[in-house]
Parts: sequence; structure tokens; C-alpha cells
Amino acid sequence: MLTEWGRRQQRGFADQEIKKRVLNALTGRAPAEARILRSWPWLRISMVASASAVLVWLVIVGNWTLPGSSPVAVTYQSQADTASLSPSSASKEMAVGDTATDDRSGVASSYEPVAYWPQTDVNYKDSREYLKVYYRANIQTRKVDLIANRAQTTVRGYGGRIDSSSLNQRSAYISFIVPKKSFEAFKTELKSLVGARFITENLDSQNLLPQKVNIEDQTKTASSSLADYQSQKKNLTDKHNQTMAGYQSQISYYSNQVWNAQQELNQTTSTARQAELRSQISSANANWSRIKKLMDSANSDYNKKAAALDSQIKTQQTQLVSLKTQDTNLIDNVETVQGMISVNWISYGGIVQLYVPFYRWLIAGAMLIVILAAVFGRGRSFETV
Amino acid sequence: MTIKEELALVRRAKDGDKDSLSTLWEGINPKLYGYLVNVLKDKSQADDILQETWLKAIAKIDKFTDRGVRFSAWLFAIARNECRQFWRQNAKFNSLSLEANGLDRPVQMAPSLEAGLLVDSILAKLTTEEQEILRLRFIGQLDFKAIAKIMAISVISARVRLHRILKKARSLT
Repeated sequence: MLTEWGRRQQRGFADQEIKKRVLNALTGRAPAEARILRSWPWLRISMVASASAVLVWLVIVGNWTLPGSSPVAVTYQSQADTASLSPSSASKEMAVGDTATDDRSGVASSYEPVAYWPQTDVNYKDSREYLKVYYRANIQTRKVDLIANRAQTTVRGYGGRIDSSSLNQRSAYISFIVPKKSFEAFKTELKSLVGARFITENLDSQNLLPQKVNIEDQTKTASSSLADYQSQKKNLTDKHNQTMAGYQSQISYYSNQVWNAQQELNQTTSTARQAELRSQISSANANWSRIKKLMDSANSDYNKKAAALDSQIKTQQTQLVSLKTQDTNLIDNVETVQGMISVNWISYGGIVQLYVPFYRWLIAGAMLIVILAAVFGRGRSFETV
Repeated sequence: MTIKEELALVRRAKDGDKDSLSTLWEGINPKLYGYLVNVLKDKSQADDILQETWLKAIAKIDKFTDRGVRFSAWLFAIARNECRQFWRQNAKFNSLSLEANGLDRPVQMAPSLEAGLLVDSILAKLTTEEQEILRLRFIGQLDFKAIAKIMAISVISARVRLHRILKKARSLT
């Protein structure tokens, strides 16, 4: 009905004069003005917002789909020899009595400060600190190999040592040790390799005081044991010497008795006396033999006991040497910083994400603007005359 | 006349081709004039505004840019502005302003105009904005994109509003 109505409302315009006037106006109109200002429909807020949202989304999605763009789980692997700076050697010797809890004697599955389980309760009044520092840095860059090489050079430049490293186009991992005294300078130089936003650091520290106390306690025990064994040895020796001296005097007595009786036997003609002397000699010889056997037995007994005590003394002395080495290693360990640097390739989207961490809100906001503009936006009216 | 044909004629008219302009005149005027008569309820006034509309359009024809909307829609927009200006200058007709000023009372019909048609009676019960949309859609035979441009609303709003008007019109019959 309305369509029919609309058609009926249309009507021809018959006034030719007006038509003529209008047609003549076409030729009489002023030349086209140079339009300085042009309309830029594609600069509308909704179109700009949608283009921005698409661009940011593509960059972010592009970042997500790139392999190796996200940091890979770090693996700690020490391949250094058991030198003084090596923590693994320290850990081997330190875990005396219980090595099961120490996992760093070989390859650890993940990089984390080793949990040294204290074997001795530390007195709360003991305020000493033997801090072992662990350093971890994650660098994001578009030049992985260049930065990785510079990092290694930096480690060596500050008197450090590279324990292990791996490198590919997308990532690099460097495990290292640097002296504690040059650690701050090393950190400063490492941070200067890239911008502040592209490096994240993590510092952990662990007080090795329980291990120190454990070593001290064991040293004390070993020293005490050594002194005790040495005292026992001395007492044993003294007693043995005394016993042997007693036996020796008896040996001498019976030897003299035999000699004297023999001399008299050679001189006397009395048969009765000779018989008596012969009996004395026989008795003295028997006693001499008995004492001799006792001496042999005492010597044998002494030698066994002395050997046992010597063995114990040697064990304690060896223990003390080992504990001294452990103590030295602990001090050396504390004087070094163990570290891991991971270098990962970053896309342009990742860089945007670093500078604009709230990009998700930007995308959501842009999309919201697009939706609102599409639904509720008022079309621009004609530029009517 | 398709939009492409129309735009081609406009391009030639910009170059000064009177025949193209004449073709445009013959094609667009029935709708435009019918719209103006229905709005103003006065043929002589409609003649004047029709002439003014065309003269202004030709004076600024170079300003018209093809944005996927008809040249005729542009003419309707100019005509609408002319009507508004006319009413502003004639205070007694202020109540008949095309701006949606919240008035829902029926349009005062001039005595000279036809009365008694069902559509006219429905129109009388609609708001001025609703009447405008109906005129542009059914007299001017403009598409929603053109109506949205003229009314300065979104295309979706134009569709929704027409749907509501038709629903309202059905309820008034």
C-alpha cells in the first residue's frame, strides 16, 4: 500500500522555464574550486580503530605462532672439571654422611639453587653468613648469536668461566661462574648489551652456614677422636714397655741363675750338689722359657692393638684433611656467583608487547569502538550546500 | 536509472553536458517534486524549493563525490535543508520543522491538500521523523544507505526505524 502510495505521490514537473534556468546554470557556474581539504573517509575513527586492532592482532598472533619465540625451559648442565671453582666438586665432598639429598653431583634437571639440606641444627645466635649467589638473566633480542657471544666474552672478561653453552638461531643458553668480587661490574656490563626492557634478572642466594657448621662440628669430632686415639696409643705403649721391662728383668734373673748354677756345677765334685744344681738349672730354664713366651704374647698383643690404634689415628687424620678441603671449597664456592644467561629471539610483536604490556586492553578497546561505531555510529550527512 | 548510470550522467554534467543534466532532471524530478509537495503541502512553494535545490546542486556539483550514494539522495538532502530553512524563515510553520523535536502530534494539513486517504491519515499520526523516513523510502524510493546519509543516522538505525514505523502503521489501520 505504501509503495503504491509513494508512486502516486510522484509527479512530473512541467515548468520548462525553471528547467531551462537550471540547465543554463550548468554552463554559467563558477569553475571548480580547488579542493584543498579532501575528505578522508578512511580516517574515520572506526576504520582506524579496526585497522589498528587487526594490525596489533596480526603482530601479536604472528608473535605467538613463531617457533622459539617464547623462552624454553632452562637446563643447567655443568661440564666443567672438578676444579676449585666447580660447585659440583664442593657438593660431592660436602655431603659427608648423606649424599642422597644432593643432586648436583651430575646433571640437574632444572636450573634452581641447590637445596643443601643442613645436617646440623644451627644455633640461632650464629649470625654468620656464607651466601652462595645464583644469578639468572633472560635477554630478548633479534640478534641472538651476537648477544650470546658478547655475553660469553663478558663472562671471561671478568675472570669467569663458561661451564656450558648452546646456541641456535632462536635461542642461546650460557652457564657460567664469575668471582663474586667482580659480579656487580659484570652485571652492569651485561645489562648494557641490550635495552633495559629486554633483560630480566633474577638473583637467589643461599646461606651455606649449615654446611659450614657441619664441617666445623665434624672437624671438632675428628680432632677429639684423633687426640683420644693418640692418647690411647701412648698409654698402650707405655704399659707395654713397662710389662716388657718386668719380663726382661725376670729373664735376666733366670739367665743369671742358670749361668751361676752352671759355673758351680763345673767346679763341684759332690754328686748330691751336682744333682741339686742340675735341678736348679732345669727349673730356671723352664721359667726362662715361660717368661719368654709371655713376652712374645705381650708383644703380639701390643702390636695388634697398636696397629688398630694407628689405623684409627690415620683415619682421623685423613678425615681432618678432607674436612679442611671441604672448608676451603665452601669458601671458594661462596666467593663465586653461579649464573645462567638465556638469550631468546624476539619478534616485532614481542617488542610491542614489552613497550605496551596492556596491548590486550588496547585490542579490546579498539574492537569495542569498532562494534559501537558499527551499531550506533551516525552516518555522516551529506556535505550539502 | 541505476546508480552507475546516474553517476555517469553526473560526471558528464560536471563537464558541462546539458543533455546529461536534462536526463537527470527527468529521472529525479518526479520523486523529488512529489516529496516536496507532500512535505510542504503547497505546490508553488514546492516549485520554488525545487528550483533552489537544483540551482544549488549545480552550483556545487563539483563538490559531489561518489561514495556509493546516489546523486538523487544528495538532491533530497539539499531539498530537505531548503525546507528547513524555509520553515525557519516562516515562523508560523515552525511546528512543521523536520527536526525530531519530540512532537508526536499530527501534522497540520493545509486546507488545499487532499484529505481522507488512508495513508495520509496514518501519516498524520506519525512523528515528523517517521513521516520523513516514509517519504524518502516510498516517494523518493531511496535505499537505506541514502536515507541514513540524509537523516545522519546509521544504516542499521534506518532499517530498524522503518521496521518500527511499518509496525506502528499496521497497528493504526
